[in-house]
Amino acid sequence: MKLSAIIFCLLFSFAALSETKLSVDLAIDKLQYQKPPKGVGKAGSLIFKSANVNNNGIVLNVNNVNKIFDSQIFVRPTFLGFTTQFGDYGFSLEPNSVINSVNQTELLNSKLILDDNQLNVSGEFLSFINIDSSIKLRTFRLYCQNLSDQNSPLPSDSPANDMVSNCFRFLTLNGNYAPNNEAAILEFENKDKDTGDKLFLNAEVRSFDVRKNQVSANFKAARSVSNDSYFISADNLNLSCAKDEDLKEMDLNKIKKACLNELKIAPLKASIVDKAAKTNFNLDIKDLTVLDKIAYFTLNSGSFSDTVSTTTISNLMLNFQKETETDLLDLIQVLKDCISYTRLSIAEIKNTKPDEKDSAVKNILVNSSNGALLVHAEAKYLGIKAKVTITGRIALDEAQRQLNITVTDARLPMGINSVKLLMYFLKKTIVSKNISINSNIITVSL
Amino acid sequence: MKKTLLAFTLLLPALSIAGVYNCSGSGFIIDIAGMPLEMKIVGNGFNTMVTNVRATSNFDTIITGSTLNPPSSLKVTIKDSSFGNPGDSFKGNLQVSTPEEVKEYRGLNCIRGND
Repeated sequence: MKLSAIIFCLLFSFAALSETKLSVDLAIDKLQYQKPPKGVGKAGSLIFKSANVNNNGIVLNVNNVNKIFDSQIFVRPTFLGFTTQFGDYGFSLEPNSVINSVNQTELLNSKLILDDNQLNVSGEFLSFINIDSSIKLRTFRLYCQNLSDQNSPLPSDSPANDMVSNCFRFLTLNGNYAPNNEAAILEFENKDKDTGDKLFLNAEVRSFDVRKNQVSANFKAARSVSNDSYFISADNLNLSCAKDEDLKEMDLNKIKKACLNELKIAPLKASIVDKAAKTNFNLDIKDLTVLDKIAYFTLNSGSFSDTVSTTTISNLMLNFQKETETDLLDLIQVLKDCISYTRLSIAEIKNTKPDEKDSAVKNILVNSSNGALLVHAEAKYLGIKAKVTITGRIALDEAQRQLNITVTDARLPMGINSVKLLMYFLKKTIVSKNISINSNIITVSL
Repeated sequence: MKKTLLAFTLLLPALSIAGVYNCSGSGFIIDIAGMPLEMKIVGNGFNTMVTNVRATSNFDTIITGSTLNPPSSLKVTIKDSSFGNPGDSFKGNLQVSTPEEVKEYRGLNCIRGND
């Protein structure tokens, strides 16, 4: 959405004018802009085919046939100028103009229409590069529509601001740069100023739609890389989520919060690779839904591999409480909610280690409610099928990033009721780098 | 009954050129009325009143607006800068801008109405 404002402002800034009626229809071959040192001086070039502009009744229809309007760009903090063979023209800028925040941008083979009703820009390539972040779009169309009617408040004195607020209520990004082009290519890079964390996202966007109270996306493929070591990839990602109706600015936290409290992701296959930890997840997700403070997650199958073993999971169903403030991408926050309320069932968990017999646990049911824990499972030990019921308490140690499970009762096969025996078997099977057992307490490091 | 029919027959030609413009061609019928300014578009998937209708005149007469179903922004350009006499005919273009494409329809025939 910031994109639309920047495109608009970069090409025309009429904010200094008292009236703001504006329509623009441009065919651009190449626009290159690089903010000069200290914000003053030559700033790039503009080569265009045609320009039809009506700015408060000043009408300019240019067919740039002999390239005589090809321009060099000159910028000051409050002025944007274009110099051509035949003369110069330019526009005043507001001191806080968004153009002053642009470091570097490029636009190739693009068409732009902007008026009271719409922003419609399609192009072969568009980039915005700043010190800590960059965004690149290839073979794209971006369309924002004004949903207000004539009874709505009058436009402000800034067409850029008006168009941005329109984009927050009706925006579509897709690959309709040319007929039969299935998807827009989006690349996004960001380096967090505080943590130094790096994120790279690459997506083939079939459609990304913002509407009054909903955001939906259809990605042919999406890949993300965090800190050069954590890779997530998914194909055919379809999601829709809620959006704040009154959203008027790019508030990422607000957008994320609304979205993660009412979310629906259609079936997809995803993989997560952690190069540092040398682990690999492959997930065949049936459904992920968040609605009315409950998260529903269904997995057809999944596998988790590290350097020594592979664990496969089949038919997992998980429901858990999701408080409004909980960030679904924060494991600690999610676990905190899970302890309050969870229903989990897994048809089978199977562990495979080279040179060892496979071990499997079936028909697992886990209930937790306000820290009380109940687990049912079937395991095979020494060829004997054993049904186990475990009762206990579960608590999260946020400071230590540990999950502590205290087993208070264990019902084992043949009427045996022994926590000690259970812990003995668990010590033999589940203790690892992240799981330790001390007396009747199982500690999982997160 | 006869009188009603007669009145209707006499009124029909007048009604058909009522409004500011009536444009047709390329599968569209577009009615533009003034006082208040209104536009209706029919054809090629449209059958709706247009919202946010605005008119400007410079070298041409330009009427813009938008529709929600389907989502689009419309611009009718009529090669009539002088708001000619009722019944005069002018060439027109329609630009339909949508999330899918920007399409130009040329060769519309626009008849100036009485408004």
